[in-house]
Amino acid sequence: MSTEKNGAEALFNSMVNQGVKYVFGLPGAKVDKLFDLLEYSDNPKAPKLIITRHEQNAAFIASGIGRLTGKPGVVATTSGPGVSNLATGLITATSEGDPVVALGGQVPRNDVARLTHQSIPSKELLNSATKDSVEVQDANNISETFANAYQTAMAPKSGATFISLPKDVLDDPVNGEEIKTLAPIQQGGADSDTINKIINKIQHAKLPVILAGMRSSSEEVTEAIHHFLHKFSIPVVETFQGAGVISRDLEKNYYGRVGLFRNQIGDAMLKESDLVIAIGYDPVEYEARIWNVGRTGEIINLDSIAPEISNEYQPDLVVQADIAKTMKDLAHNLPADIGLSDDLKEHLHQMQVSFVSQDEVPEKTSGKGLHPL
Amino acid sequence: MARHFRSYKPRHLLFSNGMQTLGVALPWAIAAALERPEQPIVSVAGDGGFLFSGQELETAVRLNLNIVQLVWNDGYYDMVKFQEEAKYGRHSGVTLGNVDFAKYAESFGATGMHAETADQLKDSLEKAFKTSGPVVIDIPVDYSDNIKLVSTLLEDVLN
Repeated sequence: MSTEKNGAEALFNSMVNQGVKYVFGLPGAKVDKLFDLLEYSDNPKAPKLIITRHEQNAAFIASGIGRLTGKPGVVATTSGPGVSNLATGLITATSEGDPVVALGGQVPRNDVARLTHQSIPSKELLNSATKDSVEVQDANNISETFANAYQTAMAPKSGATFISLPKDVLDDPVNGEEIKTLAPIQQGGADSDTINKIINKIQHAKLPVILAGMRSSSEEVTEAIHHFLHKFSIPVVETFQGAGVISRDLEKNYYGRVGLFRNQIGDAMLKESDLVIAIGYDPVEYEARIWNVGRTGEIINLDSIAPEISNEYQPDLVVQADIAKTMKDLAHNLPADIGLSDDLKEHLHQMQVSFVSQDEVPEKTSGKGLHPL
Repeated sequence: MARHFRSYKPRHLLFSNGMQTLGVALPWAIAAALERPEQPIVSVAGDGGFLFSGQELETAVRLNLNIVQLVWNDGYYDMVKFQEEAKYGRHSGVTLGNVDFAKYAESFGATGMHAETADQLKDSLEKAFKTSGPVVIDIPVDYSDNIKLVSTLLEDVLN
């Protein structure tokens, strides 16, 4: 295989190696070599180039791909305003845990520090909007930079990464092969001591309740939660990003979603619970200073990352491990006769009835338009 | 949608929650239509939020994506308005001009519809799901109950 290639080709091949399906964005003179490759490639594995009408929206679409697939969506723009227009899209992705790799064109290296056309400090600008923001200085580093940006974007907490690509770096010759398809990062479940500690807390709790957050919404974790609930039927409260964690056949376990304003059945459930099992919960979804005030019960924080501690959120047991594997181990090790008391079941049933009644559409309307319900 | 709409599969009902960024609806629907072409895609936005990224209708038309975009049209940024009213008894800086979103959609080559009643909305949705390419349904909405979103439903958990 010929090694006669430039930086743009190395970047293109790197995307192919990671199985990138789409690149969203808008071209410009600093980055048009990459767009030319994407548009005219006869490689059947080439990412499909999708041009949008604004860079911010290209970043949103890429973050949508990230949220739906768990793998980074890719966005590519030109330098200057093309890069600065990414800011809102990337900071939304980083805040809400959606993997995105953003590629920004840049002026040639010898113009970066000068007041030239579309020259801005791109990597500094987007540093606060991303998990990592770098500028490639040597074309031979392009492939490893892309691979690391891809891996960092995907690793929990997922978010956006940014690579600034000076025009002359994309033009420079590259020697050697691109980084191969990345091996997935394996994380273990909690060890048996920790599993026993959790089970002990669950056994001694009167009303354990699951708070299902953003990182509980992968297929693997959702399936493991279902498995747990089939063994031990307890209430589940979803965050907005945890929507859909509870399947139709487990609807009796569903006590609504919480977020923004503390006035839901789910809020009452969290307050009443003497043991909240927060699974993949992120404070940005719903701050503990709203839902965890005036509670006396304990909290187990089960997540793939360490929690943010605040005055209002000091979990009694913190478990950083693969969530799905840990939930499966918990379900497997639960005592066979575990269950809530009959009194509590009747109380929960009454709360369900009250919860469902809130979905009724009011009959009287103002005549100004449709009622949102 | 966040409180009342039931969803039984994860990552099938998406919100911008952490940032509550306006304008994500149509771009995320484009992502969903590309990733899940066999499934019907419904995107819901307010009139204010939709205009943050409505120009991507051009992208959706160009790619002939089957997206049904509902626009709740009340002429205000109501999420801000009802909170201002709860705090100050009046609102500021939240009034929008009148936009006909069906005509807006038609100008991009998408299909535009109006639905003024629940029955019309049902009919429009049925038609929209049978239509090739993006469809925008302009729906006048009565947000006078939105103030209840901040009021207490349960005595003991009032903020």
